[in-house]
Amino acid sequence: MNKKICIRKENIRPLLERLSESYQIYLPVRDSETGIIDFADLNVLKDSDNLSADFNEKTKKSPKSVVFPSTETLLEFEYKKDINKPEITQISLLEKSGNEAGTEKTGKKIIFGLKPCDTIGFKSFDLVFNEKGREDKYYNEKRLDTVLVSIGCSTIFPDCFCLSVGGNPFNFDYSDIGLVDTGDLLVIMKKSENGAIAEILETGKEFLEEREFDESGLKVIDDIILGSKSRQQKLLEEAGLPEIDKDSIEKILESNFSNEDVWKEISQKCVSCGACTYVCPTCVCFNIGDEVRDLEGERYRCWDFCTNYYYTLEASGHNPRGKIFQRYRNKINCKFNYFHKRKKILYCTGCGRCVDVCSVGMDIREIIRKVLMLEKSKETPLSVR
Amino acid sequence: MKKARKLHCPLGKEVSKKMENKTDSDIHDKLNNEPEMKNQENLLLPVVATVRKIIKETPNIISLQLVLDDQQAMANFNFEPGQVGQISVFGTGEATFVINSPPYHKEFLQFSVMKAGVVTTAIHNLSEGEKVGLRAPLGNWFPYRKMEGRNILFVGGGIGIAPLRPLIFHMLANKDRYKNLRLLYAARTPQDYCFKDDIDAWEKSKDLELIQTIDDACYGWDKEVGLCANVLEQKKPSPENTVAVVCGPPIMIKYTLEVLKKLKFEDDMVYITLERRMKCGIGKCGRCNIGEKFVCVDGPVFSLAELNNVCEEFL
Amino acid sequence: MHKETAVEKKLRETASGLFPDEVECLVGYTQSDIAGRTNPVFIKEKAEAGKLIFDRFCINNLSVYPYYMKDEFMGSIGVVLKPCDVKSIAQLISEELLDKKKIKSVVVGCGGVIDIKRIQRNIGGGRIISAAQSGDSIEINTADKSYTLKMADFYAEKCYGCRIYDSPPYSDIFIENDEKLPVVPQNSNPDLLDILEKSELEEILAFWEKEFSRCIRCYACRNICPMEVCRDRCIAQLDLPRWQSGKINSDEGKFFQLIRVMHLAGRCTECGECQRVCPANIPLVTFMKKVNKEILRLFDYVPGMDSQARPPLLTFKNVEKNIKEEELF
Repeated sequence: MNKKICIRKENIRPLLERLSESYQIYLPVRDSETGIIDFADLNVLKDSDNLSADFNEKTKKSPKSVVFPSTETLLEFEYKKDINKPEITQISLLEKSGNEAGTEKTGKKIIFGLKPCDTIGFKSFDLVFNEKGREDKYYNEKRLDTVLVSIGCSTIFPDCFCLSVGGNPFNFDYSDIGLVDTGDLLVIMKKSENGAIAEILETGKEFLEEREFDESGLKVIDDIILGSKSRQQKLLEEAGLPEIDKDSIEKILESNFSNEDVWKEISQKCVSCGACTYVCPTCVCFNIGDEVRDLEGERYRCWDFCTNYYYTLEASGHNPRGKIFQRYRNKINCKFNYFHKRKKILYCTGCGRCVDVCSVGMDIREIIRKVLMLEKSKETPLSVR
Repeated sequence: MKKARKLHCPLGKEVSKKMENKTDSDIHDKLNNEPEMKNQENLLLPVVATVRKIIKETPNIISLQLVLDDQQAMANFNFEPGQVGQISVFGTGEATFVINSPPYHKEFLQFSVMKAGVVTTAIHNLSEGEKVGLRAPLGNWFPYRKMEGRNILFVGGGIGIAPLRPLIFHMLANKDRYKNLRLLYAARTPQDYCFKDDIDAWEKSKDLELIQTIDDACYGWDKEVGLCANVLEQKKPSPENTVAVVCGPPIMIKYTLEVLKKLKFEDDMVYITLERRMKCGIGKCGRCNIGEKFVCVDGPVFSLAELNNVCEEFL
Repeated sequence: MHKETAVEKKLRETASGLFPDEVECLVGYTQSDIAGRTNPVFIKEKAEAGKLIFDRFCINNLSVYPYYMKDEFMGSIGVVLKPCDVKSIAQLISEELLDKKKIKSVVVGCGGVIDIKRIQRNIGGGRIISAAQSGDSIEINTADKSYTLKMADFYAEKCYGCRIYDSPPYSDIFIENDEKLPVVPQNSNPDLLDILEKSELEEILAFWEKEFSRCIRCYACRNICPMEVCRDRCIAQLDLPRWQSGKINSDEGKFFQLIRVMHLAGRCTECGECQRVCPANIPLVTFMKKVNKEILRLFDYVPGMDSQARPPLLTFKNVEKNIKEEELF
């Protein structure tokens, strides 16, 4: 006999409404007019008939913009002139705690309806922004009070491949609350040590119920989990994509780095736009810029994409990665080689959003396959030429 | 207590007086402290600094001396030779420069700026007394303790003398820990030499052998002529117990490394500084990477042995 | 893998014949893993010609590639094109951005292509697992449902009213296709430009404000456009001089599109790729259609129809036929 807290499907919305009194709620919202599903604030559902919650389909963009907005102000500055000494100016700085104009993105938040691949994305972000001794204040303000509630994937999509990068459709390791959809219920299968969970369960208790699960009940849940895994397994077998051994893919990428022909062939379709980077749950590259009008201005940070020409363009005009194949090679290496070296996890969650959004059909699964098939050639280490 | 030795630097009496009562071990202790970055809570927020002085070194290089507005912070500022800082001209942007004043010097911080792009042009247009932002110290530094007991061969090309300067000063101040110091300083023309006062002092110094070279022969020039790598090859420095430190434009580093290889210098005895476009300076924005190394965190100082294990070309 | 159709057979034979003497590399369409799409493929030898396909899902405009392949390939570059796509090649040639002698355009007569995004919107939800044409219908399968849809309702916007489907304005090789468009099929979707032209200014502004709130400035629209050969030199990304902020929000998104509109006036062939690739489904072709209407009115010029014409905005004339200067002031 196993007691688990459950949410009946018809209670999801009222539960979230109740929680929205003390938390900001984000959930996947479908817009039937544009056909796009993205994470949005619960309040927008009231605005329009076209919008509805959809917990089944994968969102087009990852939920990273909740903790890492596409643009945020870092600081504001103001020059002050002394009319007696016009060539000298004083300056005052105002640190902004990263609010996008008009929206309040700090404060307690719940992101509801994540997929397990998205939660791995949050983990990667934590690893980058919370490096010891170099913590990012702007990120932490948003991330600290965020509760991640994920629903395991009962549906596997044609571009999913989380199993091959070490994840799985019901991986709740990085979620605060993990739910399994049994058809008419959402069953809480995992709760982390996050202190906010007790408060959430208390606040929403009117819409929650505790149920006993006997052996057959637990078996139903297990079958759902196993069913998803085996469906994805089948998909991966058909695609010829095995589970990636992280150490060996690192070595293969290393030893084939200078093999320009392979990389030119892999990246020949790429048009070097930023779509794949911007929808990816783990891509974190950003740019910092200044704006000034008269004596006032601000410094902002915004998303950037490594496949663009300007990414590494230096003031002298020299560009170490001036060709598309060099930039794409850097991108793949960053995901499967460098990040693994630095943080011991792959920088890819297997969500397949990049495959879905790419204008020309660049397929990271195909690239992984090609890379794995490359012979681990014994190249001499790059010596000075 | 050993008597403090005379220091060779252009500040002349001022600094010597200050240093008179200090001993070598004092200087070392200061340098051994973990350099702190101001505003630990927010590493993307610069501190405000004032431009104390601008020195025109060459037609397109100026040296900028900055003093932090926060006096306490200025007095407590610690950095190691080789570390860099990001100077902000608010409204234009930020750019990275090596801190090239001597590390034991507490009055101001000096950066040398070559005019190349948007931010450097804005810096060239600053006047004394203006305010800028500073985020420093960033990056790693020359492992000068590992270099103790060895001969040091400095090879600098053009603006590449800037990262070498604080290291040279440190080593001159601690001469007994190092063996022979040799500097090969290459510039395109006699007008392109930076730190002319330092050069005068180094020429006269018995502790540092200075070799200067320019690209093409020119009237009134009686020293070496030829590209840096060629002159280095002619001089045939011995790799025996010698550490080479090479800084300069990528093409100069490339040819110099080839020559050092020919002369049989071991990879782990050669250090270079590398540059890439930098934005955050703290290893997060992702763009300054060379392979898995971030230039802002794992560099800008790299040993050749380390770089040979990195798959991406570094030059 | 589907059965080889008659037009594919002809295409593959023609493509094989081009190697090794006539082209160094041929860009064409090939099967994709994702339903309702085809991928570009780069063929460098005879044996690979079997990879080429040509069906109702070949919506991509492959003329975006030749300009950027010029540096790598010394010989000629072949491109498999639909009649609407070849307009881009013709326009690039008229602007001297492509060398006529170095391009081999293999134009295949077209029966119209399916817009899979339109189908996706129509069926409401559920990811499409498979999509296939059968006669006049499209068979769609999602994870739990199957649909049979009338093909004529789901063509790409540009297919409705197309008159060049079997007579391209420019080609080096033309391959006949038995599958033809039904005679000028009617588009069941209302025309957005029409609606906007009849709306009030505030409504128009509110509409675009909402659309661009989703823009993430990924530059997919710019990079997929065959006419935008400026992707490594774009003024929206330059620092010196700084024309546009790097911020990502609705205002900057609109500003960037206006830059594009100005850059493409009189050059855009309305292939619709920008709209197809936008991750935020912003109806970008509407801008280009409006500008092209003006270009037609002022200069009697339709981009892409004549590879020998001088594009009006790249020409200076003392007196313009349709612009009466005295009426302007």
